[in-house]
Amino acid sequence: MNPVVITLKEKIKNRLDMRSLTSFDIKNINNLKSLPIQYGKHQIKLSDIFTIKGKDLKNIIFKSSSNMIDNVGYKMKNMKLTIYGDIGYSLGKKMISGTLKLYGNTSDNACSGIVGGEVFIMGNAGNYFCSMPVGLNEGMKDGFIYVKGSIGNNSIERMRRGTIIINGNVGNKCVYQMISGTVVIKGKINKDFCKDGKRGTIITRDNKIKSSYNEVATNKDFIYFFYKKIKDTYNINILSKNNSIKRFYGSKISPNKVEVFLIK
Amino acid sequence: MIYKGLKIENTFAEAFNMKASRIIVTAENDKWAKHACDSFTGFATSVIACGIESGIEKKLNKNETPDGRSGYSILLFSMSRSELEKQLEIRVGQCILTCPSTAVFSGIDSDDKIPLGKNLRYFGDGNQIAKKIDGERYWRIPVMDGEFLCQEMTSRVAAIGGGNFLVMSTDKKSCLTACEIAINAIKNCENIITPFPGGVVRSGSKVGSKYKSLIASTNDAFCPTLRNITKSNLTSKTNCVLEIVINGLTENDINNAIKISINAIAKSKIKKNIVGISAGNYGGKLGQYHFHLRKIMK
Repeated sequence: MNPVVITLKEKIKNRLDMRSLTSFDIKNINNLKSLPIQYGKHQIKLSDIFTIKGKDLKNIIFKSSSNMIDNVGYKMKNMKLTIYGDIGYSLGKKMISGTLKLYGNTSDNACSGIVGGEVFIMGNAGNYFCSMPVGLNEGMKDGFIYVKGSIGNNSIERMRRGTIIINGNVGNKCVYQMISGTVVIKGKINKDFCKDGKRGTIITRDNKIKSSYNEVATNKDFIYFFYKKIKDTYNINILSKNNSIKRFYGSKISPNKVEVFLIK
Repeated sequence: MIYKGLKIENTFAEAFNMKASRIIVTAENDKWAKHACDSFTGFATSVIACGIESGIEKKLNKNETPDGRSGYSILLFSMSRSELEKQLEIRVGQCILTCPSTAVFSGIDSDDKIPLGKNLRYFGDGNQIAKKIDGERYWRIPVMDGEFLCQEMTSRVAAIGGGNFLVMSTDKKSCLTACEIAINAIKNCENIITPFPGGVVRSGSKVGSKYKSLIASTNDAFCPTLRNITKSNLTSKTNCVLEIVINGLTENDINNAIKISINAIAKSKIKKNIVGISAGNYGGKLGQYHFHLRKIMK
């Protein structure tokens, strides 16, 4: 079946809330065309602002997206959503399962409170990426996220589980109160990185972090297994066999069980 | 029936429903992976007294293992789910966790999950680390050479145990050689194991005994030394009988293995000493699967 292709008819002037696209039970293409969406102060139908083609409701392609479009992929479950162009706030918020691919940049609050699934952001993500949604006590609960670019300030709050790979740099006060999970940062880390963590694994190339952690013996079995698993599953390289690896475990400042793999 | 000069008797092997699982054991090098596997599969020849029947299924290339190291896949078979769980946990804990540099992973997937490292993690005394990658949870248990990495769960599937055939020969030497040829031919077959030492068993059994406490006793109908004393199935030429027992995940896997191994004997020079190929059964009333030799070799 052909994927559903949604294309903006013209440039939008107001903010567009697309949470209904992935959180409503859409049974057929007519349902989709008459799907209510919030455009500025008004509620309109999806077909009023988009041209819609294709049949496979579980595979949606978003073409010529805009950074005025918010809440795309909200509570998404068992779907494949591909977006071409930039996107607004709260991409993949509270996403449950499926695959979300963005070929562009996203604004703040992307992947906030994500529960599962796979997200690939082939640009940059704004502030509060993978943050805690209002009223919840945890940020990312599970899933896999890859960001090709950099992420903004106050990102990755109270992460419970899952894997995040950041190809670029991270902003200030990132990876705050980490509970568990794995974060790979290939670029540079910034001020107040990984503060008040409990457990979890950080894989980084930035030397800054090592001063506040205890150096311990390095067992490379797990890190090579992790590398192979990520390479085989997602075709993403996080290190090579030539890299030297040092392991740090437990902060010198506050007692915790955060481990850091420093890759050179 | 004469198959490539080899006499195939008109009989069948009787096999049973079993539960099976597969694990993948890896280590720093092939030597240590083999040590762990030999230890795990030791004393796992028959469910009569060992709890499970287990064996190395095949050696895996580095690109076939989850962590890219040398490894082996092991199949284990049991009559019940609880025994399979119990034996798996005991054997991983005592034979693989203890072996330097090893890691253990699930090698089979089904909806019916059984614990692999789920309870072993407590050996870490609170220092164990969980990692969930691609929907699967792994445990990292600190040990004296670093960390023992194990997958939390593996799966259980329905399987078949007790597929077999008997090699009847004029002398022990040729019988052993024929069995070695047969075992060698199926050593790389997937989804099957031959749980007995070297894949061959000499103490084929029948159900029951004159002694009330025993559930099985020697298969006197195939014992050459009792040829003229009991109701024997052997001709005067037969002086040695050895059995190859094959456990497999499906009927097809066992059919294939029997065919390949008998074919290997038939193609070898040793066949001139082989009196015939037979199979062990209990009259067809106990086992759910019947492997008719002539049908397989057609």
